[in-house]
Amino acid sequence: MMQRVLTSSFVCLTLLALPALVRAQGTLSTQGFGYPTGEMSTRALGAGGATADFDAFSSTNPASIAASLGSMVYVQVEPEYRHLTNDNGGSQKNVIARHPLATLAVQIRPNLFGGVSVSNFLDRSFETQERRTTFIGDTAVSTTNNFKSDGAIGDARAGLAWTPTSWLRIGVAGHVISGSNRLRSTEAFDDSARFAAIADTQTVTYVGSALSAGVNVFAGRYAAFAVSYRHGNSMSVKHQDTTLATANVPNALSMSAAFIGIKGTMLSVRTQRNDWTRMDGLGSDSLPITNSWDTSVGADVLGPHVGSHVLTVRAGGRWRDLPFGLTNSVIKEKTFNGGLGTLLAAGRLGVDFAVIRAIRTPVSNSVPFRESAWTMSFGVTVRP
Amino acid sequence: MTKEEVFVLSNRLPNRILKGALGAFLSLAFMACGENLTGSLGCPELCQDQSALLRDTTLTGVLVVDTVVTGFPLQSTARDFTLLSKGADGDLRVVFRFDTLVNRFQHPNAATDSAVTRVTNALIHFNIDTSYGKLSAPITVDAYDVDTTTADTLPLELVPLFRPDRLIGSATFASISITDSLVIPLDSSVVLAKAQAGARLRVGLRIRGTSPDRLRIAGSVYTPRLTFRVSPDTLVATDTAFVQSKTPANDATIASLFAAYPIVVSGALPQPGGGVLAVGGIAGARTFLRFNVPSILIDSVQVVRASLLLQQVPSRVLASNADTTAMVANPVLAGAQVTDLNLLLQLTGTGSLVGVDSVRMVPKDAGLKSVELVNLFRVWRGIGEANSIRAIVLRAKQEASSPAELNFVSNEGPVDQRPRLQITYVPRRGFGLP
Repeated sequence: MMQRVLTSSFVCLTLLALPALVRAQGTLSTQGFGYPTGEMSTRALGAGGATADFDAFSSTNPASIAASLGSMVYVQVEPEYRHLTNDNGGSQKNVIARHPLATLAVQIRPNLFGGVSVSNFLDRSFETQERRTTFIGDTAVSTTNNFKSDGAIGDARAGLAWTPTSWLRIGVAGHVISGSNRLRSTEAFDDSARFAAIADTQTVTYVGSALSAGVNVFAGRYAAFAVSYRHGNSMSVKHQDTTLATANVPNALSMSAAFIGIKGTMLSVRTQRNDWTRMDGLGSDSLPITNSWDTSVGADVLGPHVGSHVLTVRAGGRWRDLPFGLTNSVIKEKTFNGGLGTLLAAGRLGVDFAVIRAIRTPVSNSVPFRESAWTMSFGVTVRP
Repeated sequence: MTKEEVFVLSNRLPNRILKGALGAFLSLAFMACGENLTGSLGCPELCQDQSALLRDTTLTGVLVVDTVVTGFPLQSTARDFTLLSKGADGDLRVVFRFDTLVNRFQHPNAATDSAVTRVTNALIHFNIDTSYGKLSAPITVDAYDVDTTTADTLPLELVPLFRPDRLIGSATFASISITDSLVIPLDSSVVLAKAQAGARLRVGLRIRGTSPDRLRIAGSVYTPRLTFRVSPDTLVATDTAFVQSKTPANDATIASLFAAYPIVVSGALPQPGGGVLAVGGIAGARTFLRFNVPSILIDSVQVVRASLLLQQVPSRVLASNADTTAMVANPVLAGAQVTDLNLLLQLTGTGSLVGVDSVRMVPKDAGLKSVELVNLFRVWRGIGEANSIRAIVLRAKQEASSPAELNFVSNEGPVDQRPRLQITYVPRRGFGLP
């Protein structure tokens, strides 16, 4: 009975997570094919992302599925409050809704775990509005252009994790990288009596795959290490049944080291190398793509008691280059993270919260824009 | 998942905490869907330019049919009529038929009815369209008894009846005091005589004034009527007779069309000669234009502008040639199987319903004029050529109400002045990839 309930819950919440996940171009963070959320859970984000490779809910390392220590379902919501400022004057606020991650883990045998997760790989949802001047023959005509992209590239992962001994976890996973962007471009002429508005709609879909493998190694009572590698296969972008372009899913190599010598405490450092340039060719030739390092440090500490509940306190920081920048500048992102978590209902319900302060800046001083954001991440885990 | 399924799922969970937590989370999940996405601050630096590449082309020789037909509006299609007195340049009159007059009435306190033996206060009431233009001087409306046993729909027979010995009523209105409701007193003895004889009362109206003027009778808003009293006792209600025709006796439908109708006394011109198109005038000229537009421009691309370029020439009519005249382009709604021109001219929609605006022009002017048809092109794309031929009818917004006539060079005129289409379009395009 409970298995059925969990399955239903997972399907329901996965459906909630699949539609448009994040928004905005015309900002620094969502250039190109979109913003990479990192596929991390609220728990990992609270620690800056540094504990993601040991975290059963995150979909970065398949070996960590075994950390679920049983069957569970996990879902996450993540609104972001973004603020873009122009050094030359002006600012703009946006609210972005995200449902970036849902995970289901099942204990198949005492030392074998299966997991399925759906996560947000690259969000490309935005809406921009601007004034332009276009020429019809010799006549200059003013227009109001609106461009909207709705959708994302998602990562559906199915993996297995095996714990042959108490100090080793080994995991493998297959990924389907797919999604779509529903695009709408309208161009309304000021002289609407003579010129009718232009309205184009188009849906492009992305199809790709990847394989990943990873390990968690616990070296005695003091240290833990994790390594994972995702190998991207081909990836294509299609319009209906026509393939528009083909490239590859980015490879990713991540490494983590953690100090676990204090009971209930994990101090971790993590770095991940993403070969985003393997997506070259999927968009226009002029699309600037940068391979990047994604590095974070953080702590996950068993904290004070509140009533009969024990709180887990998390903090961390993260530094990375965003993969899609401007033609004249890479965009850097720096975040400061903090979080709390606790278990309820005799451990059957886990509730996590994280707050993330992100600062996104262009490397080049010639770009007059700065972006900052507050992100609230909420995660709920249900165990049978 | 339906609401019912959520409830079932909720009921199966093991305890209240789980249910509450799941409910709270679902609420939060839905709340997190609220977004404010639109941004313009970062543009153009951080935005992709998705502007469409526009192509512009002018199609000459695109007209396969252009012809002028007069005589509009047709008898059955208008209930608003114009009274005009411009002498030979334009003389328009109107006939109201009151073919049913009561000859008996019943006092509320009487057991039986009585014969009508007296008529007082005989008045004709009608509304006028005050938006049609202000009167420049006092105007007089004369009412004539135009009943005759001859063919009484023909101007030739009716016009001689507008003579002094048949004048049965008259009223003069000062230009500043005129409102949208006009009342013309009639000779009550004439009405009494008609009522007692069981005869029909047919009233012809014409206007006269110190300066040429016109009135637009808004019959579609307010049905013209005759009122009169048959008793001095105020307990007896005023009688009201609405315009009604009983002839031809064998066809009630046609008879109803002649309850009120206009008479064109003068000013109606024949169709212009070759090389000239006409719109408007006393004759109510319409121009039918059928296009041969390459199907690619309708079916395969987005048309942004479709301007019908017409070379206007000074009007052949001098009267009212400085009056601004509104011209509309009505789409023909017939399929390709309809080929009869008269029928096509009647099977038209309203330009404003498909987003085609009227164009205002002055008849004496000359030069290139543009009629914007882009919205019609988009309608054509939606319904296909089998269901609607690519044709329009150009007509004056208010037909047969003014001598003002617009003239244009036709397809038989000089090559560089013939009607043509200027099309701006967006070819099929891919867009949206970064």
